[in-house]
Amino acid sequence: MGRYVLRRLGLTAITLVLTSFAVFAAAEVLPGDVGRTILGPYASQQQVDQVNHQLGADDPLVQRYVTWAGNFIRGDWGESPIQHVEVRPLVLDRLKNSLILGGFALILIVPFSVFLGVIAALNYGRTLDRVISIAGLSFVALPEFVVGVVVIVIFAVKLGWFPTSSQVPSANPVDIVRQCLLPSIPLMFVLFGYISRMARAGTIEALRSNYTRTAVLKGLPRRYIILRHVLRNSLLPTITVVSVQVGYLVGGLVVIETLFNYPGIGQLILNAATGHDLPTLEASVLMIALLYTAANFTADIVTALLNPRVRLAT
Amino acid sequence: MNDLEYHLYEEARAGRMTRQQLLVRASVIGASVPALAAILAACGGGGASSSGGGGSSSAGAVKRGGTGIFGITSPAQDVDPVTMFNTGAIMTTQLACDYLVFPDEKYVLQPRLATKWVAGSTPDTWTFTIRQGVQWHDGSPFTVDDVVASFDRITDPKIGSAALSAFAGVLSKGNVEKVDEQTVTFHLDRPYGDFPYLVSAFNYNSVVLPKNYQVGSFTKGGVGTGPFILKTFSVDQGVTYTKNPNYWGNGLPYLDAAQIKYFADTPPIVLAIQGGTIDVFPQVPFQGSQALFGDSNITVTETPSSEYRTLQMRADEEPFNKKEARQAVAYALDRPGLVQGLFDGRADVGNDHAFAPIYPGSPTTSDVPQRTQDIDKAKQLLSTAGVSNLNVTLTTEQFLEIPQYAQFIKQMCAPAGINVTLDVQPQTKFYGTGSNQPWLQVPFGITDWGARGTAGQTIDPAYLCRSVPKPDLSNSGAWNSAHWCNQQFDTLVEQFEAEVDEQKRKDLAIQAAKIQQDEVPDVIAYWIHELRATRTGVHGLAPGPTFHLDARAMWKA
Repeated sequence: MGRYVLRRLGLTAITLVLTSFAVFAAAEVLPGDVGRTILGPYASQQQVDQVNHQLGADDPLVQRYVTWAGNFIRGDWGESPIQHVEVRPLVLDRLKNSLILGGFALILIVPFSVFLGVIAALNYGRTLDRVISIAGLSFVALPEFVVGVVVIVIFAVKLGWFPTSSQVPSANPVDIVRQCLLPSIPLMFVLFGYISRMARAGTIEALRSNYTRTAVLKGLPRRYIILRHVLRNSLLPTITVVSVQVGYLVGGLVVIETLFNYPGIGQLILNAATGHDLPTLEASVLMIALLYTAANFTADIVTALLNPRVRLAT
Repeated sequence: MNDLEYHLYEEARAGRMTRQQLLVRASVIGASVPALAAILAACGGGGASSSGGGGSSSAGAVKRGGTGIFGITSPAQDVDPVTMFNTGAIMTTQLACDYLVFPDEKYVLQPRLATKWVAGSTPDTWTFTIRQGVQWHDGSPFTVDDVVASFDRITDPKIGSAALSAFAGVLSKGNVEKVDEQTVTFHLDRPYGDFPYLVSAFNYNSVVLPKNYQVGSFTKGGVGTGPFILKTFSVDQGVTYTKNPNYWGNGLPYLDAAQIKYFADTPPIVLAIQGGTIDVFPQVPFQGSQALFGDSNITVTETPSSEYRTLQMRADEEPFNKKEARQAVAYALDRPGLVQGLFDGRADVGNDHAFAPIYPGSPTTSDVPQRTQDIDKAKQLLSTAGVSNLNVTLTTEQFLEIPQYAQFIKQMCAPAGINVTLDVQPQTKFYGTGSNQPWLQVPFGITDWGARGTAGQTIDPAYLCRSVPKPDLSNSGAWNSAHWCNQQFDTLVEQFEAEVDEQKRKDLAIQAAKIQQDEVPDVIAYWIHELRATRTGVHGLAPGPTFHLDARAMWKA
């Protein structure tokens, strides 16, 4: 197991280095001119060139990457040329906000979806299975902003139970629910379909397997079979799906953040990309990449713990 | 009564201007109260009452206190009054800062930090009397030196204020003179009859700041003489302000505090005002805000403005280098249909010249006949131009109603034999940077133009020969996107801008408008009405002009 973990860690590190270079290169080749963005449309080309030179925006790409990566590791993430503030607190603050919302949504969505997916599988072919499967598919088809507007209009505008714009919640659990519940509903619509179908398919496969049949034939109680033999095997693909969604839940919520006016990192990335705010863009995307690889790493470890074949095969 | 006042008095006597137009022009020349009374009496209007300006309350006794919450589009950039150029930033500063003069929703200039202004014998000098007893937010006294320093700062090419374009050829650095402790004189580069508009909110960077102001320090708070003092600023959380207890306006402001919440897009602002999270949505785009019109808890005010779109056609290259081809496009469009389809009637029909109906003395349709849809004529003009079937790409931006406008153009042009292909780009791509700015380069495009205070403020950068972009686009502020150049038009516009005599101004405007309409560098199909939404119970907020914020007299029931 130790060797397996080390190996995964090594791969994760390589992934991060490659990602950071890809992020940097992609950001630097974005169309537009840093100096022009800072000085606005009225500055002369000479002034723009001067600013580009001061910022080192005219050095070769690899040199700029090495400087940037070195500074990044040392904790110097630079200053946003657009907002004129330090990038590190800005990005970490937004990341924290997104983790709160994403974490809340994940805690809400995963057990609910897995539970219904397993229920559907246990009722394979019956009405309950059909209802759950069709509902999941229909929910996936609804765009986030449609669901978002509908829930805001009903629960915030008409009923007034929740605010129309979500603030970053305080530590108070009531406030967390008040601020995060409405934005989580559209996310649930998106993810419920994926996760419950995955759980359903895995469970159906496990139920049909030889080891389940053996367990049934040797007379084990049904509850014991499902918890001990079926779920342990059936949830492996579900864990992978969930870990892949973590990156989306934290960094990809641009639509939800815009609609609920929630200061998350997705909105920051979008603004940084369109406003040509490179230090912010690079740092934010790298943080999302870091989170994403961390989630994958965790998923790998959990999978290995649940499934001896994975950890022994390597 | 001085010469300019007398000219206006003559116009009034001759019945050549409406009462509203007289008020606007009287405010520009800084007419004294007795002169204004005489002018209005000559017009048959009676006394010299001011037309609103946000000072009046509309629902009985004023209730003081409370916090006014505004929902506006995020400025995306750090907010500084000297360099700002987007509406979110401008509104953020306007709660805390004052201008020398401020236009009301009908474009009548009202005194603010200046109490009086008057042109010299020719309008190349303008003298402003500065209000006494005003304090900065930190308690220090506001002086004439602050005014001089403010204008030296924004006319300094090294500082790069967005006002440089507005002042180009009108006011240069160092030409603002302190006459005495109460008076400043602006020595202009050329006679400019509408100069007071350039020291008003219509030249939004011309806010008056302390003489020792450091660019970039505004959001730290406490800068300005305005009704509210900025306390905290965050691009995420928005802005908070407290009432300025030493504000010079008598008893103003009524609110104890103000707050701005920033939003990334229109739909969440619409939902926020419907849900009561905000009190005011100051700049409402019609498209996407339709839900507000049927909401009984919300009042939407509508005021005509000079905001418009150019449908520009490059006059210096195929296929629009012949004016008949450009005219053909202009005749293909059904303008009343566009106003109805795009704004449900909340716009005025345009007539392909840049003198907006809101400006006093602008040519009316009896001076310059209204251009209307005429498909046969469009076909005939195309054949005169030597093209029977015109295939052209219309490039534009994803912004407000513009994509729908482009669709309408495509449909309306088809019967005339003009086949339009659409290329709708993200706004940042369409504006571009450096030598790649599609909006200045494409043969056929639609561009959004914000409202200006005077016709000259639009025409100078957009239609004069000196504003034709160079091939590498190195001449900043040259926004003649049609690359159209007509010396006679330029001369007329320059005379118009220098003229203060109302009748002569109007004659010059008519001549210039006729040339522009005939040459059609761009189709001007509509002038947009500005919309402002408030929740029921909000009173006293000025409905305009355009997006500019005057919340001094705002109160909540």
